[in-house]
Amino acid sequence: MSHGAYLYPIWLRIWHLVNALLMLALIGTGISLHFASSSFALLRFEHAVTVHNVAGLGLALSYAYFLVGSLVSGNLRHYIPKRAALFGKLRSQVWFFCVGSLLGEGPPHVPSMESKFNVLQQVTYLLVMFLAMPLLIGSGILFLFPELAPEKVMGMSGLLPVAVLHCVIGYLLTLFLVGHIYLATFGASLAEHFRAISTGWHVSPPEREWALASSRATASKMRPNSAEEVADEGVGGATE
Amino acid sequence: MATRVTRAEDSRAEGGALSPEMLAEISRANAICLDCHSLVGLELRLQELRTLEFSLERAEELLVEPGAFELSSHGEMKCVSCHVKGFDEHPHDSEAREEIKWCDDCHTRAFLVIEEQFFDSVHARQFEKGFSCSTCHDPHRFLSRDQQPSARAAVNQDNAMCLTCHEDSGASHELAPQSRQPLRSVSHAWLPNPDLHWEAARCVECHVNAEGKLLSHEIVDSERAKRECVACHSSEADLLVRLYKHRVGEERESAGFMNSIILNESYIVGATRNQVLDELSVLFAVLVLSMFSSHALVRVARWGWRQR
Repeated sequence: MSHGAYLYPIWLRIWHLVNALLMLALIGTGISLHFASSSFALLRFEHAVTVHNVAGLGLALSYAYFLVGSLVSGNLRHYIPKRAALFGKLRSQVWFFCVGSLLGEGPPHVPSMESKFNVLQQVTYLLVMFLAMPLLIGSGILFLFPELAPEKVMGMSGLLPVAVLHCVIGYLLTLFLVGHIYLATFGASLAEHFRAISTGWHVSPPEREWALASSRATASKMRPNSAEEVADEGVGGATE
Repeated sequence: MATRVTRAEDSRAEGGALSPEMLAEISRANAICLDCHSLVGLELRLQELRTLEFSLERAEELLVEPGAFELSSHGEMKCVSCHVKGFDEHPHDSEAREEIKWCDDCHTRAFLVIEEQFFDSVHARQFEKGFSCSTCHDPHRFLSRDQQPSARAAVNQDNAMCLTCHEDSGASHELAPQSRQPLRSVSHAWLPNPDLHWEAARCVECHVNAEGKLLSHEIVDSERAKRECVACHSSEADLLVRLYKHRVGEERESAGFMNSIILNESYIVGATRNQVLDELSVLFAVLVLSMFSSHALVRVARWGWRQR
């Protein structure tokens, strides 16, 4: 028997896909613009500017869509880590990714309708979505409308701190993307989490006994609906 | 008089600044001229000028703004260095204008190159007569780029020279009464943030036919103007050796790299990156990627071992 939970509704999956594509376009064109030279260009400078501007505006809209969707659906609560034993939980999550998974230990957290994200995801996503993204988009908008930027800041061009902020956050988010993709391979199978964000259903296969066994007690409380139960209630969606 | 001019020019040729005594002497001599050729002087003599059938436009030509002239590249020269004959009497000799020195009388060596470039320019091709150095470079106001307090000031001055004729009105110009210019905003519609570009870069950064990176007097029209963004937006930007040429040397000596010379004045995507920060970020990215790759390798090895 497999255990599943419908974690990612369609509006969220569409946002995630659009956001991912826009970020890839922005990273590619951003690198091309930053390291522009006569001998290096992923894309011709003028085309890179256009793509970067359009994708940047798209990202701003997509971010607004995410905020509204999260507020309306209650998705926002998944991003708030509980303060109780926060550092202990963080430590055990980092231990699992770095060492525990290699030793065959089970994950300290199993995704459920009540708690989609482990504490490391919560902290990271909170910083990414509610600090880095607003700063990235805000600085990008200032770049698009440079007349809005202060003319001088401490004797330097006012665009300079905006540019450095935009560049540094873009860089950190690029590294986040690499980590995000790598850590997504830590399911029972390599495809588990990728399948979940594609179909909406997070399914823990029966062969992952080592994972479920270690967190069964918690998971049984936090996961009221198995996939079968959800299907019975007519919510729809098939399980594997 | 000629002797004094020679002494001043000799002093410059030797690379030395003029002594305070020489500067005071120049100032005294020029004050005699500016007594009439200043705004106050001209106003006082307006009645006299009218009797000489001077139009107001003509009177404007006689105006030399004392503050602007002293700050100009020629500001430490006597008026009579260029206005050589017939200007020591009043009213001046009617033939005196013909005796005014030409630019190439002093800028002889530069003219060997400039003249050739100018004759290939769109201005020389468009106008057989009437277009001279002073059409663009007002000798009483012009301050060379190397002497400007900032690159922005150089941009403002040089672009103002172009806009004197190429203003965005689409109107014809007295040099070409029959032609109508295309609107600047229309012909530059392809340029992102055109206003920002016009504030930060000179028209001639694109509108010259420059072999190599040095600026040329071969001004070209829109057909032949550069549309190569990376000519400025890259670490080897032409701007570094044009607009910021005079500061590149000192920058190299003090900081070891050139980017921050523009960094302090304006931010230019692709050109003003901090090389140390770039290298650190690449290093850190390599470290992070190595960490993930090593971890992935161990995972794969363990998976293989389990399979066996």
